[in-house]
Amino acid sequence: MKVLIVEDDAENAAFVAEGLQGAGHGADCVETGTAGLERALTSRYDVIVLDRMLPKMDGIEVVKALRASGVSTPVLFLTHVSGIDDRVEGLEAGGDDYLVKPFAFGELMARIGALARRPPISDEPTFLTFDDLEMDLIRRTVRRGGQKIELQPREFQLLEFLMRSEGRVVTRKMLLERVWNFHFDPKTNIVETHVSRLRTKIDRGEKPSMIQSLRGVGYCLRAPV
Amino acid sequence: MSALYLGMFTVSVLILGAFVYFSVGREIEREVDERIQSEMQALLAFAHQSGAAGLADEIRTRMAHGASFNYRLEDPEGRLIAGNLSAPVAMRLEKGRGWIRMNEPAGVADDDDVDWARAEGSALDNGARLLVAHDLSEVTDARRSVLVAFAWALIVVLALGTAGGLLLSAAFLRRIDAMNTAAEGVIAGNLRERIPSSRFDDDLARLAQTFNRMFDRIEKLIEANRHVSQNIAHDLRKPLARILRRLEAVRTTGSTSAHYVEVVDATIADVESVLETFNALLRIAQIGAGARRAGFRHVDIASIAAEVAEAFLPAAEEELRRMTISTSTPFPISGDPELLSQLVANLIDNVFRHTPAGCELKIVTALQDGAPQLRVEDRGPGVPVSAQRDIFERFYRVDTSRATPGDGLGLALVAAIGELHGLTVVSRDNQPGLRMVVAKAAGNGVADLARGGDRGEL
Repeated sequence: MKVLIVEDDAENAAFVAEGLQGAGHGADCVETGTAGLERALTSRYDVIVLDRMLPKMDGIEVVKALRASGVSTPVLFLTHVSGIDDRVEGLEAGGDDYLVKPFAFGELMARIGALARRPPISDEPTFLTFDDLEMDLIRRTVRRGGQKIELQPREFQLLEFLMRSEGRVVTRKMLLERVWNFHFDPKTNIVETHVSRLRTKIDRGEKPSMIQSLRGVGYCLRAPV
Repeated sequence: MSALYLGMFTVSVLILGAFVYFSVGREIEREVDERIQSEMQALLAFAHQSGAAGLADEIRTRMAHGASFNYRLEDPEGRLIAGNLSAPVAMRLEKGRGWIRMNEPAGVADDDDVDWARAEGSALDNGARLLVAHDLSEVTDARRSVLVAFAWALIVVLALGTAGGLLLSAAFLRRIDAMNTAAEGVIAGNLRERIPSSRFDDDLARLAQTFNRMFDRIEKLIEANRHVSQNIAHDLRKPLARILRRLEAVRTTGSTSAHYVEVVDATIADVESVLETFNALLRIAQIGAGARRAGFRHVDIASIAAEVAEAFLPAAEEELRRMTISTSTPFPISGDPELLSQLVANLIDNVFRHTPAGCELKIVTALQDGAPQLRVEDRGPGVPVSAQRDIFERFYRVDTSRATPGDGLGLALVAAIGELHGLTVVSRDNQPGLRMVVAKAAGNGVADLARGGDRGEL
């Protein structure tokens, strides 16, 4: 995976780049919006990490210019302020995800991973499978080993998101945003309790659970050994 | 100012005086004319009956009886037959009959006071002329009385006006001075300084009250600011001290890598909690700035509440809490769904954190006096009445030992979001427990928001 980091804070850019390289990915860093746009137009990247506030050309303009040139590389915005207006503005301009600084590295990695392998909208699947777990997105049914599992709507959405992530890590924050549309983190362990319910239903007593917890990061699906 | 009023008042008194002066004069003059006319009529009628000689006798008789008129009866040659008007007036009377105004009523020897008079002349059948005159001293007297009266009135007006004006402006200045002193006091840092209440009920008194309310608000804001700064320092020192202690310990005694990982994890958790506190503060400040109203749309708090509450159901089940969601009464409002979700979530979070496991909670929308409201009710220990306002303050905690988890910002955020939406959020005794009530603020206007926000945000 090759990631372009457009970030004027050199220290933060180096931290992200090193982290990505440490995980075996390629990372290029540029410091200005204009340089970022040039790189993004000339080389192929899997994901672009774009700071919202940049010298010369700000992040929103860069994305608009990219989309106008037909480049559909997923863009993850980084920002200092947790303004919802900012997020909406970023997404409307053509950004794909949004992360508020300071962030945990695990959070950033999970989001980059999710963006890099996101299927194009055109071939949206109607059927998801993971190991012996099957999800029919039209009939809204879930089966494991052929046996039907009754899920609450939120549990279904939760499992759908995990299955779409195909074993990649999803963070609590990502789940809160995608499943509940909560752009804040309630103090009550909403995600944990839902995951625990979902586990009871899909694991059927089998250990270890198909939904693996990664402490301090999030969850991922894991095929039973 | 009062001098201006006094001047204007004086001028109006003068105008009124002049009007009265002239109209009184004219009125009396007309009356005199009427009297002369009727006297003339009477005398002419007499001459018609008794002839010129009879008329002369009659004039003498009337004069002897002290008539207030002056007469002159003269023959066609202009020689005096009877009367006391000696001046030859015939030449001044054209066509036998007419009014003249005599500036010097010549011949009225026994009446020196008469300055001028009015007279009517008339020619008789035999060529003789009759002149009847009446002095105008009445007019002069009346005019003099008017002048005197108005002169006195003017003196009184000027005296009273000047004295009153001086007194009023002295009182006014004293009150302005009091306001000035209070404001200077506040500027100098004495935030408890207030303008003393006045016994008047006028614009100035209302201005003073407004000033005092402003001072109240300033005091509250500064108090809140001080309070928040102290609490930030207090709340952040703890985790930082913990991190320092832990890092120092692991540097001197650290042995296994598992131990290192444990310390790093704990440190990360502490740093995250510090960051979270800062983020929450920033968010409150951002919402308090009110910039978000632009993105408002029509939403239903009831359905938002239902959706948010539903997310808490498994958590409630895990803690053996009975959670009732009853949101069939719609609560439409123009607002930001994301922020309103957070408002509801924070209220529910609050119940989860501050009531023991197993404690039931209800999320209800209902009509109260025809207006929709959202209530989050629990049966926990509740909040003492004295603290029911304070819990919306940043960093306020009922448990002063700060032993319970939480950053003390959840309800402050609720209050900030509420205020942005023109909603009031109040806590009430649920007997037992706590009942949080979200309702539209009276008037539900932006102006009300500014006034309603007396909790002291920054």
